[in-house]
Amino acid sequence: VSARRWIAVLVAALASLALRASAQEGPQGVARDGAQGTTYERALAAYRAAEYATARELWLDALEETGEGAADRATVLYDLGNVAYRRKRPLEAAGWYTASLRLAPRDEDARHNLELVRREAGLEPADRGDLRATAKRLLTIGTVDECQKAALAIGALLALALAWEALRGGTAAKATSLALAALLAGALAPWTYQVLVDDRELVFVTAPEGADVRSEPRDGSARIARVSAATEVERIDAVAGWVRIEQGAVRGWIEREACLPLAAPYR
Amino acid sequence: MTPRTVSRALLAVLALAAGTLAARAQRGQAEINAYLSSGVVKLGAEVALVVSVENARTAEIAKLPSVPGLAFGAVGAPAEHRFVQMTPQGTHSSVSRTWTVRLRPEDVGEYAIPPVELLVDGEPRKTRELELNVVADLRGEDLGFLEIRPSSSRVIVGQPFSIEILFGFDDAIRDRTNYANLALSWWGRLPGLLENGRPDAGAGKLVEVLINDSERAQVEVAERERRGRPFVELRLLLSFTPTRTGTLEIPTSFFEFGQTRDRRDFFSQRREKVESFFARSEALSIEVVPLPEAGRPLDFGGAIGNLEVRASAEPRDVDAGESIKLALEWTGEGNLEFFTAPDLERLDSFKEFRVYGKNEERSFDRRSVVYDLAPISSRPTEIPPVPLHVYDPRAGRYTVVQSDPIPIRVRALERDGGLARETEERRFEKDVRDVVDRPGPRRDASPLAPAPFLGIVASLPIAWLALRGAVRRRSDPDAPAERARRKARRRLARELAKARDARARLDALHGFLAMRTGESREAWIGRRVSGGAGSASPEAVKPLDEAIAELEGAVWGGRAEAVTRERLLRAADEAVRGGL
Repeated sequence: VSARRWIAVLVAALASLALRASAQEGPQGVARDGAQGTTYERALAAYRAAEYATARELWLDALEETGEGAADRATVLYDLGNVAYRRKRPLEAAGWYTASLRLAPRDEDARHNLELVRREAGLEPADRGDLRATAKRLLTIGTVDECQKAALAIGALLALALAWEALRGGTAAKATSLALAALLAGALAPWTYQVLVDDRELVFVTAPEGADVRSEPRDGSARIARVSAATEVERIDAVAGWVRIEQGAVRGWIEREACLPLAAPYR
Repeated sequence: MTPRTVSRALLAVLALAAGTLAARAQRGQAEINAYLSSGVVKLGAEVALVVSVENARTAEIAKLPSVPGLAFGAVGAPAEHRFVQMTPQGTHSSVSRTWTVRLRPEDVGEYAIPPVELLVDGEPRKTRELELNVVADLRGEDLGFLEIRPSSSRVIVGQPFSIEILFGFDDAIRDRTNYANLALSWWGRLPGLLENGRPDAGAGKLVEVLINDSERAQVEVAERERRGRPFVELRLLLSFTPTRTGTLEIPTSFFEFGQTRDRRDFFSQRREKVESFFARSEALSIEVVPLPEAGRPLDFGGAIGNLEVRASAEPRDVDAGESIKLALEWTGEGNLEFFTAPDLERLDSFKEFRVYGKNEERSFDRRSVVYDLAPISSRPTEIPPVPLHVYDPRAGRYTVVQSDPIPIRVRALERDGGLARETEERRFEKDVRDVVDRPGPRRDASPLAPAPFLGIVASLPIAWLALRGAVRRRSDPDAPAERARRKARRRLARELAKARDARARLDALHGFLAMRTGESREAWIGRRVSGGAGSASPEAVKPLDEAIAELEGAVWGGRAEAVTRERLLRAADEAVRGGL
């Protein structure tokens, strides 16, 4: 009887953790301007009216909104990619789609658009289809949050299977436990890669001619390197108008206008 | 002193003197010499300027003199001869370098050739001045002729032009003339020219002549009357396409003809000239000018010349969508190899056709293009004319050369219009997928921090091991007896379902008790559960004992029994809950 209680307690604890992990933070406030609707809806109306500069600003505003009614960030980033494409800025569009895919990695529309704009910008495909690209795509098949939820769900099932094996033994219990443990390892691999290996804040270089890396965040400072267009480099700091980056042994500043953050804040 | 001693002393003195002289010569200045192979030559003949330097470690010709009327050939690598001399003072080596530069006079007269500038052992040196007397070959001019005729003295960039070279000699000396050499200093050196393929010589007889004493060329030979006498006339036709503007200078050229004789000796066999005559042509120039901008069509493909076009098509009776081979052939005087053939897909008149591609054949005298096209509907009744914009140098303006329309019959297909639909599909554009009209709610992720998450994952095996250890301290649930004990209830239900009488039900109960207690089935015959079932409470096993008693009475006492399967299973369950 006591063993069953322990199992019940363990399952309840795992379930509550899973629920907590999936709970949404709920700060407050989505701009709603009377009959004109939400910021997202106004941006959409501007986009449909081919007022792309207005749509861009509104969608950037929508990115900063929080609370109930705030639009999904990945969707807004995707829309910003379309705006950039319509404004004949395929490199910037590629940056927005890349940012969107980091939040919604299985969004086929964003992936399609990303490959299209990269082709128009004269870049090689984002997914080259080779072994390395395929492995990376598998390791980023879900977000950290999704991978964690999947791992917790599988972990709960594994806890049950392990309890079964501990209390009753038997081949079926052992096989079930092993299968679930393998599944858990599979769910943990993307999480491990994204949290422990690829946990960097990146910026995407959108200037067609690349960006000069300067030793200090001012125009007259020494140019110490150059990063090519469409390169993803790590952001380690930022000041007004400048972003400090690190790539390999190079650490310096590039102009904010020449790049696009792949994680919030996007402005 | 004996005569032998005297002779030895004399030899020693002579050897010493020779060594001293050689050493002095070795230590002396480098010797420079220059001379002409002949001081008097006929106009047209070549003369060799020979420059030699001896006793120099390094030597090179710094600069050749420039003499109007004398064409200097290229300076090649010197011929080197090394000498090694052994003297009592040691071994000395010297080297002699000799350059031979070919000169060809372009006019008669007495020429003073200034000194040749050399760089010898790092110091500038000069040769002596030389003199050359060039006399006209009046007999050669009378016996032979050379004429160089360009097709035009003014050509457009890209416009092919030809240079006809006519030369020959009096038929009276045919028997003693066995060689002919064209001395063309401009051969292969005219800048910005592409040589087209040599035109066919026609049906005339061909002979081989020398060009610049090295290259051989086939020329037409004929007999013509000149100066009131029969002449052997030779003809060489060259065709060029100029690629840049400027003036092409063709200097004085010479035709050398005469008799040679083979000379053999022990070491070699060579041909030497016995009699040579020279005829010359005047220098001339050709001006290459750019294409005029005025009136140039936007789709001008670079065709220049006087061209004609001929068109044919096969088959001409087709179904809609069926392939037709349209063959166009441009001929005439023009840059047939170089212009861009018309692109039918860009012509409005071919909108009713789909063009799959084309095959081209280029040659000097014709340009053939075979288009593979198909009517996309049954509407076309002819293949439209194919226009080609051409610049006509004679007229000095751009014109259009177009083929004649070719009547065709196109039969409609049952499902006409299929190709048209495909054509429209080909015009589809690629575009990004549209923005999202109704975005989903914000999915702000708040994942657990890595440490607690990993702690939870790591706690799973720890908790499992702890629980497993605790359970197995009491008993091993995986042991055969324990597994049989767990299966006892299911097996009882199965056996009771099959049992047809009291004995079978009693056997099933004995089997159940044996599996639950780990004893044998026989050990439970005539035995009660309350008397020997471990920790089971007597109240819990009482229904089971009552059922067993009734079944035993029926089996061995012949009494009637009313123990149903359900009652037995309820009693078994109660006993299990009671600790059986």
